[in-house]
Amino acid sequence: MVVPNLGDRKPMRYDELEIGEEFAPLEFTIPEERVKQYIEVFDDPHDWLREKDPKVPPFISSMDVIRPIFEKYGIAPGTVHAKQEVEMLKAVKPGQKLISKSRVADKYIKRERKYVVFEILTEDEDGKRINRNRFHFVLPE
Amino acid sequence: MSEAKNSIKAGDEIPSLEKSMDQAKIDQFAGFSGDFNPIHVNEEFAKQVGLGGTIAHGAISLGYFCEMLVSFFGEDWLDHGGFSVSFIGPVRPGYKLKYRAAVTELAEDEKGGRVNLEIWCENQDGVKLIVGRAHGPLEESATG
Repeated sequence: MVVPNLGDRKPMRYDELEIGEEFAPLEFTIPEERVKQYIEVFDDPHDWLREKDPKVPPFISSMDVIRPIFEKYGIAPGTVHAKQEVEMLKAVKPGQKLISKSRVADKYIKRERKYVVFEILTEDEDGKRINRNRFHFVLPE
Repeated sequence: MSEAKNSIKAGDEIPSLEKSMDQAKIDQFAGFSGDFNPIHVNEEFAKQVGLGGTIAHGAISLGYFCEMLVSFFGEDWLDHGGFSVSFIGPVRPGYKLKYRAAVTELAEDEKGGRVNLEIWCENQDGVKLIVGRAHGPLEESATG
C-alpha cells in the first residue's frame, strides 16, 4: 500500500472537513505475501500462516483500510496519529475479500489542537462485520 | 491459549511484551505502510516542527499491543477483542519499550463474557507513552 503524501493530493484542512463526509469504498484482500511482510516487520512469533486454517494478524486489516482517506487527502507533514480505537469482530483469512467504508465521524478542538476522527467499518463478502476502526489525527496548522 | 486466563481476576497483569525501537525499524515500517510522513523519517524536519527528532509511527505500537493480547487470549481475540489507546508521548529511536496490561474487571457484552484491561506502553525510564484500555474474551470457566 502506498499512501500519497501532500505533494500528490490536497491537504486535509480542519475547517474544510465535514462530519459525515464519506470516502470511496475499498475492496481489498490481504494476500499471504503481505502477511509475511508484516511478520518480518513486527517480528511476530505467532504461526499465522500455518497450513491448516491460516489467519491474518489482526492489525493488518486495520492498517490498510485508511487508504481511501489518504488517496483523497495527502498526509500533511506534521500530521500526528493521536488516538486509535479498534474493535475486532471476526478473524480474516489470507486472500479473503474484504470491503471497508470510511467517513469523517467527528472533529474537535482540544487544548488548541485540531483533531479529526475517521471511522472505518470493514465487512467480509457476506456482509459480516470484520472490524471497526476510529482513527484520531491531529492536523498541523 | 494461556492457562493463566482460566484464573484471571481484577488487578492481575498479563504477560508483558518488550521491544526495542530504532530508526531502521521505523524506516522499515514506513516502507511497509507507505507512510513516509517526515516526522517519522526525516530527523531535521522532525526537529523543525518541535518534535526533537524522529518519532515512531503509532501503528508500530498498535501491532505490538495486538501481539501481546493475542499471546494471552489466543486467536479468539480476533473474534472478540479490541482496544482504544491514546499516544501521549513520542516513541523515539533508541527506546526500550514495555507493553503491559492489567485486568480491571470481568464483564459481559453481546458476545459473552469479557476481560477488560488497562493497557499501556512505557519506555526504559518507566515513562508512559501510550495509554488506553483493551478487552478480550472470557471463558466461562474463568469465572469459577
